[in-house]
Amino acid sequence: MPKIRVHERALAHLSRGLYRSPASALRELVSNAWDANATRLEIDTNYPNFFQLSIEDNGDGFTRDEFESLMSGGIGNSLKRTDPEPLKFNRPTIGRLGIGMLGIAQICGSFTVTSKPKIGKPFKARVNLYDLAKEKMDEKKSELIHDATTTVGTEELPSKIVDVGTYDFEDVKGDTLSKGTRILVDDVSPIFTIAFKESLTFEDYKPVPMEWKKGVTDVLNKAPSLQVLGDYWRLLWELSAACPVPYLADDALPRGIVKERNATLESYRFGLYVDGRQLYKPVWLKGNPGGYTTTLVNPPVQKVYGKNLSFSGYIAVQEGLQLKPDEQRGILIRIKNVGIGYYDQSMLDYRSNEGPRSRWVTGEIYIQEGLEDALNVDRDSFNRFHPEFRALQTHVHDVLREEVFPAVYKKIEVRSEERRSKIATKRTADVRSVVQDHADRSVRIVRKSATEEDQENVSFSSAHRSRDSVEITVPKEDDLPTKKASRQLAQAVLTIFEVALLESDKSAQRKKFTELLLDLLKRW
Amino acid sequence: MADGFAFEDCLLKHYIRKEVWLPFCRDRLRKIRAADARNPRRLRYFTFCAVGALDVLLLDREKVIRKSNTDEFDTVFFFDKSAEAIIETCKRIRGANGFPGDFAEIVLMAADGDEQLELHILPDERDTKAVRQKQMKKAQLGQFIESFPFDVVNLDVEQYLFRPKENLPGVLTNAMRKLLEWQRREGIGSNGKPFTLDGFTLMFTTKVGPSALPEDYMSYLRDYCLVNNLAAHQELNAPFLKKSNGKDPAQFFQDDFDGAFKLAVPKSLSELALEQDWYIDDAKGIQVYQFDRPHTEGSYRMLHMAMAVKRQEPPKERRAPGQQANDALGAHKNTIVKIFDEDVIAVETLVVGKKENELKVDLEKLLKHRARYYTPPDA
Repeated sequence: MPKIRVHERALAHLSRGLYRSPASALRELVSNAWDANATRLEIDTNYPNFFQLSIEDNGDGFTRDEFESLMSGGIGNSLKRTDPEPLKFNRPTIGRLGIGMLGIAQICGSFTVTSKPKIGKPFKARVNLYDLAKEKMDEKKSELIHDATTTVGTEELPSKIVDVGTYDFEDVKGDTLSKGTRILVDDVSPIFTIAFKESLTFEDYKPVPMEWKKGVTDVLNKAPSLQVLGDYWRLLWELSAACPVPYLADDALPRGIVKERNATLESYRFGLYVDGRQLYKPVWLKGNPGGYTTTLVNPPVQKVYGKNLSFSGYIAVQEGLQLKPDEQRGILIRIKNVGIGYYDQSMLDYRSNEGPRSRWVTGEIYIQEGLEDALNVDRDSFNRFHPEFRALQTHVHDVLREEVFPAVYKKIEVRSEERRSKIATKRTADVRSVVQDHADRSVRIVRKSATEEDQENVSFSSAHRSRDSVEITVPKEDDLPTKKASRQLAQAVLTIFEVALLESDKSAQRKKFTELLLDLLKRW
Repeated sequence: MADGFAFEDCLLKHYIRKEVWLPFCRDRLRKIRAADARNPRRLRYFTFCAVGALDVLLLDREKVIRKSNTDEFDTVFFFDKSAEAIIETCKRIRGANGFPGDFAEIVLMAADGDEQLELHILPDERDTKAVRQKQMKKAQLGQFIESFPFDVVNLDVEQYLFRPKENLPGVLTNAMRKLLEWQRREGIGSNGKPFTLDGFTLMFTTKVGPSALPEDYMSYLRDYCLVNNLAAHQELNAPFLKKSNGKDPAQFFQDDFDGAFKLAVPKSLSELALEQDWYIDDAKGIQVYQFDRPHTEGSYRMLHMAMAVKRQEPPKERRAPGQQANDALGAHKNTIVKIFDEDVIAVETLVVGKKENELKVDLEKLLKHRARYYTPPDA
């Protein structure tokens, strides 16, 4: 039986777990499909049972020879894809270390690969990864590790090769196959099944609508966190957030800030489907009463140690309202349109404490050039001390500090003023209605500027009763020598005091004042 | 496609779907709705639908099966042998519960005892493929059992009910025993209310044969299903003799295996139901249809049986051991009389002329209906 071999460079990652979630492993297969010119990638999870998993694309596929080459030493030993042929639809090549297919090993022990290439014969192979391989590799004289050589330039270097499993070709009828590749996992880890099945029983779990937009607007945007929705929702969210799929609409974000980007993404004609539903980026910022502040990030190309770094994107703030789900907040960096990890809630280690306001911020940065060298091998995170990452970080922080948050604070001030004014108007009306409710004739409240004499005599107000009406004169709020926050209340108390004084004796005055005060405070 | 038979293009098969299964399912739906007119649950359907899922989609088109609020066939449950087939089927009926594996093999794992069927982390075993596979098969069984009961069970098994290499009465029969047992479980309806079935609809399809059955099977079919019954119920003799052209059961089996098989199989189904605390509703009895399927290795004959099954009342928990409910015994006898009395309907004779055209048009409509959900990339 031919051996599947992994170069030692990839060994540690394969055996110790390269990806932090099933979605991260699947994202690699999505990238493969993208690079294979697929226009459709379908992931079937066997929902709601999760006994198996299938990933199927309609891309260019690959041949039996290519598969064999990949299995017998190619995995982990290939550098970036250098296809001479450019991808269809002007797609940028995502490229990666050649580990994508075996990444699925994180959630299974064996799987079947079927591929019908653009040119050449189809094949079907059963891949069986060794049980307990990590333990076996850690043995002193492991049977799985062999000496080998690696060619670097013209030089042959000693190296190691590790057997991680075996594969078998199976019969396949080409005429029943569609062009593309299918990876079928029928040996999923029970933990995968347990986790996903359990998540369907969570108290806050909601069935996933077939229309993803409904899923985003009706469920995700109302959920505090993906944790409460469970692993199935998380898988969908992570895939939709990280993969190079279009937005839900050109105007999914305010002021058309992703319109152009969306047109580009749509032009790539790449559809990602999970259990039949087409996924789009799970961002939908609409309908916030406080509105949104948006800032475009679009600096000129900069040189970092002689290499170009170019990026653009946006930062959006949902004014006064925490983003939901919580995972939506932060900054997501995309290389070749693929999310590296997920939204970084630290906003690339932003140092200023913005309190709850940092929970209103979401943004995406699309890297046009550079930063790939800063990627860690899991392609899920960055080396934060890499100069290109630092340059990006500096720019994003400048934007946050100099543009985003100042605009946010300005808006907060405006909103506070509006809120104060609204309350003041209501309270003015309340005073009038309290007084009117306790009077037997029409009431007029006159607010006049207090004179110096008034101030000296501490005699601010007065009341006059005529046959048809009562006129109460009180000073304007700003003329009352007390704290600003207390002035409207002071004015209101003076008003009811004057009304009470119109009563004939002290007892009646006291009674009236008490009634008016309690009524006023009830509405205040 | 199994055996090279074009299931999807076959008008005879479509006749069965549309003219036999559909009315039975409609009838079942009416009963569900009558039981709770204000907030009826949705019909639960278990099938061996094959990748095309045309039976499910017909019931969907006819609004017998209703999808969930999220547009999913969540009350549809099906088995298929290969993982590929499960994936392909689910593309056409999203949200349906697909169980990969051999139906009878998985069901009969239940005979192992009371071991825990839920998936959980094992404290002592290592994480190897063999352990995982065992765990997953049990989990599938557990999940399948949890899915019971079903309002309609469509066992379109496309295989022999009796297989010579198996011990009597055969794994499929034993699997059916389990299925009928689990049909007595309490379920939770789509309306959130618990329910138990007082009846369900059973459709059963099997190949006629094989004629070279070993003696123990022949004796089961001949003696248990026919001879003993004829001895116990004199009134069955006349219809039997009419059917056998005056031959006794042994001679009948020897001379006309096909004819004898078509009597014995529905009868054994009726016995099985009775054994598991159910009985066949004698109002319609067991409707038996047949048609021949062409095959590269020679054509073969399929029997399609459809019946309404009722729960015995009082249930066995409230009866003396070994006793059957009187109504059930009466209905069982009437059902047997009907089997002996009525002819198997040859579908070929029905799918002619206007009916044939009508079915053709309807099948095309059904395929278009399916295309609304999914069209394969190369189609």
